[in-house]
Amino acid sequence: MDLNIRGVSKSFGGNMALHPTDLIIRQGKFTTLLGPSGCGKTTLLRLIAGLERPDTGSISFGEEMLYSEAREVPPHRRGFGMVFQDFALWPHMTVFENVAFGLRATGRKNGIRDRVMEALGKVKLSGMEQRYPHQLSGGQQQRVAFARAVATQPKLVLFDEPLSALDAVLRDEMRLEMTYLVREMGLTALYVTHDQIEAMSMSDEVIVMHSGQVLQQGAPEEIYNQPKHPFVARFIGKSNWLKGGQSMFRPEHIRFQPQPGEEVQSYAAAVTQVSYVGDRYEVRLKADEAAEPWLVYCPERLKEGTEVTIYLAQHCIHRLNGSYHSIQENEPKGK
Amino acid sequence: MNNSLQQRQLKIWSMVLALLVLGLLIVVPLAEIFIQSVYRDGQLQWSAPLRTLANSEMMGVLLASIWLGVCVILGTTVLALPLAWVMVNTRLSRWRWLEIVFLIPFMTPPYIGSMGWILFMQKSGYLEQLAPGLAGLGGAFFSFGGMVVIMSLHLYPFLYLLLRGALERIGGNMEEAAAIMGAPFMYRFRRVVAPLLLSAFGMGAMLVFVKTIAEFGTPVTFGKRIGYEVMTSEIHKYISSWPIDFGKATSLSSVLLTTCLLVWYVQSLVNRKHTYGLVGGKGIRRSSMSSGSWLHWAGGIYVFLLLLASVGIPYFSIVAASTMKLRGVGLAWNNFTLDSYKELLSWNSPSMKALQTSLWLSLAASTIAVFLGTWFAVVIERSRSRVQRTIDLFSLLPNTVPGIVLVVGLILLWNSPWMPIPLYNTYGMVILTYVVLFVPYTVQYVKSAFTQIDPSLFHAGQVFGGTPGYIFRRVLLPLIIPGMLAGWMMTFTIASRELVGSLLILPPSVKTSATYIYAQFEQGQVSLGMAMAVISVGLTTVLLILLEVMGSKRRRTAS
Repeated sequence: MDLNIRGVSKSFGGNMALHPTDLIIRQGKFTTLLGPSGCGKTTLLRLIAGLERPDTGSISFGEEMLYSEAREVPPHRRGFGMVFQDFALWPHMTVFENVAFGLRATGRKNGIRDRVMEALGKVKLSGMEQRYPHQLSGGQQQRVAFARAVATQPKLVLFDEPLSALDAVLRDEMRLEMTYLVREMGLTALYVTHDQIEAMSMSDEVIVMHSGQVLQQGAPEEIYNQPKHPFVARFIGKSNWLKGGQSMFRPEHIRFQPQPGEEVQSYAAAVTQVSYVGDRYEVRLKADEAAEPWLVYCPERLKEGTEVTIYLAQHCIHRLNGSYHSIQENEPKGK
Repeated sequence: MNNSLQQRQLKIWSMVLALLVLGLLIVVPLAEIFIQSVYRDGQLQWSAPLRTLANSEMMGVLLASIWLGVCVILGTTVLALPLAWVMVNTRLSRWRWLEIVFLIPFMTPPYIGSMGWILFMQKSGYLEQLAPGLAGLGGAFFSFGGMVVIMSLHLYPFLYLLLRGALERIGGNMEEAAAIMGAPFMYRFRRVVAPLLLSAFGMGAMLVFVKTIAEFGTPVTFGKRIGYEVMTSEIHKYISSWPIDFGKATSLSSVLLTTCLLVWYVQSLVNRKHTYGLVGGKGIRRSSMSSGSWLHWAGGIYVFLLLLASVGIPYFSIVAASTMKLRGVGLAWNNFTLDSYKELLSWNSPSMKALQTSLWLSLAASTIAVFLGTWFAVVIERSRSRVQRTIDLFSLLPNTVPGIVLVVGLILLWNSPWMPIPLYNTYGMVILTYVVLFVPYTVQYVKSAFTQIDPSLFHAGQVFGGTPGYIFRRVLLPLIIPGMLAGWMMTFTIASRELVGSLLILPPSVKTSATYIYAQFEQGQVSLGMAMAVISVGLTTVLLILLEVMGSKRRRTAS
């Protein structure tokens, strides 16, 4: 039972929010839509949820057609769960009622209490069920929103940047916890974020989007090591570019000594800037081979202005194929 | 160090002085009402107000006011709820200018709106002339039901704005979350939309109630005609026409004041418990899914009819009456004339004098009110301390208590035998009354401008070496001047057409435009009165719309 998206597109008042897109979201996997704001990822999520209507294409879940020219299943019959960016907890209902809502709304009569308590137990909110949302901290509200989304045992849980409303410390904590819960409960999750750390650390599969188009889909490692598009290479991690802009390598692959038995490239470069970040020094270099400065990591402090020779294993240089130019040219203006 | 100590002392003195001024202007007059109503014939009689109430006539008046309030709540709900729904869910929501048009009924002084309705509905009025078949409707209109209709058509924009705001916020994520959780439309409405809407509605309903029982314009024009007496009109009667009975007026005022304060209190309790911060972190993202096109049409027709009834009819009647040569001839092109305007605006005529009096009194009052209100607002700051909250509460009191009650209190205080300042029966008294009645506008505008200023702006000013005076002049003042300007314009427009204060306070034989309109309508030349109404309302409505447009533009650039 995979989610199949075929040729789906959406525009708002002449502005193409999502170009025709084909995607498969695999069952039991944690899939993330990653991209800067305005890239169409939230639009895609809302199309899947049924909150927006596609202009073209079809969406199906396993055998069931959710949306096509001929048929449209309204959001409340799709059987999904969703965690909203601002949580969207109903302020006039207790925690219990918020979580029980989906069960009651779909007409279930028995076992509501057990199911709600189980969901609340999972997110460590047992004993809080009679509180109102405004009596909870941000992190607790987040947990309620999560419990509410999964209490109905949905076929697919949608996450719309759920961590962006939290502060940094809480965000890290919730990230780990949500990853754990999604895996433990065996949920199929579709997660929208602009934060590459969230995307890389939580997902089985990452879909990178830009300007309403999918640029690359793959495992996090694949996205990082073999970006297919310069935007992907720049957006995820740090990238150093060789002349021509067709080849790049990651900073951690630079050596200051040649490794024996490896085919290496060597470059002469001058140190322009050094910053200490705790576990290492981040060094900016000006190499003759490149138009932009490079970033490399070094275990010890280098003096600014020093001339160095650096070595890069041949297999660490990643060549991008040149078929991407069309995308950046018709990039729409930001919203 | 020495400098900051001086500054603190200055601040404390400023607060104390503000409290004293507010006490003298607002609190003592209101207290005077309670004191006078228990202090009869030189002795304390705690039961006096109760005895007045027990008087069946008085009780009847109180109940009449309350019944009117309840019915107007119903009336405004019937008008405002569909409107709010239409304006949120159909394409009409894109027409932002409608927002301003819907404020017109609310900005029209109720006495002028009522006069328009009377002219339209009365025997051989414009309805009869336009559609003779509907003449029977006119007769039925002069009843309690007609009064409720007039007042509902005046007050519905108020409820509409509250409901619209709530609907907009609920319609976003709150309802979407319910949809995704599997709730069908009716279930969503019952469990999510209705309960959340109810909290906003409850608040609006109570405000409508207070505004209705505090209103003076409609009862004194329309209510008088149909013999439906409410508290405000009774108070006016006991003060202004023979046999004058200040005791009864005072007792009634104390009852009206108590009722209003009670409703406000309940409202603030309910507000604290059952209103929810519905504001999300992100801007509201409305789904682009649209409803059927027949709904847009139905909504459009509803909006048109509502505007026709609440703006079209009263304004048409007023303008028509002001341009008529002979009343008997009625609506006909050859009966059209601008003579009333000529007569009205001719130099040294009583009407021109009234207009001039209105203008200079409002000008003086609004100027004083702006400085006073700005001072209060700056003293209040972010209302952190108890004293600041008290100043806040006192300075906004005139907005919460009925105007007529405050006027009665001012009369009791300034006309009392022990008052050493001989202000009563002078123009000064009129200006004072206007200032007291309308100072809350400036306080609110300046306060909202002030609270939007981040404190770090002042800190930055200090760090870069600004003295307190310099920071005030270069940082604070430029940022609150828009608020001051808004307060000044609002006070000017409202004061220039204020009826109740003018009727009760003006020195003998002096008229303002409002009392001129009232007198001409009651027993003079209707066309002259209505021409004055057109001029005074036209002038002030233009000013108010300008203010609204200015405000929305500023909000847009600020966000």
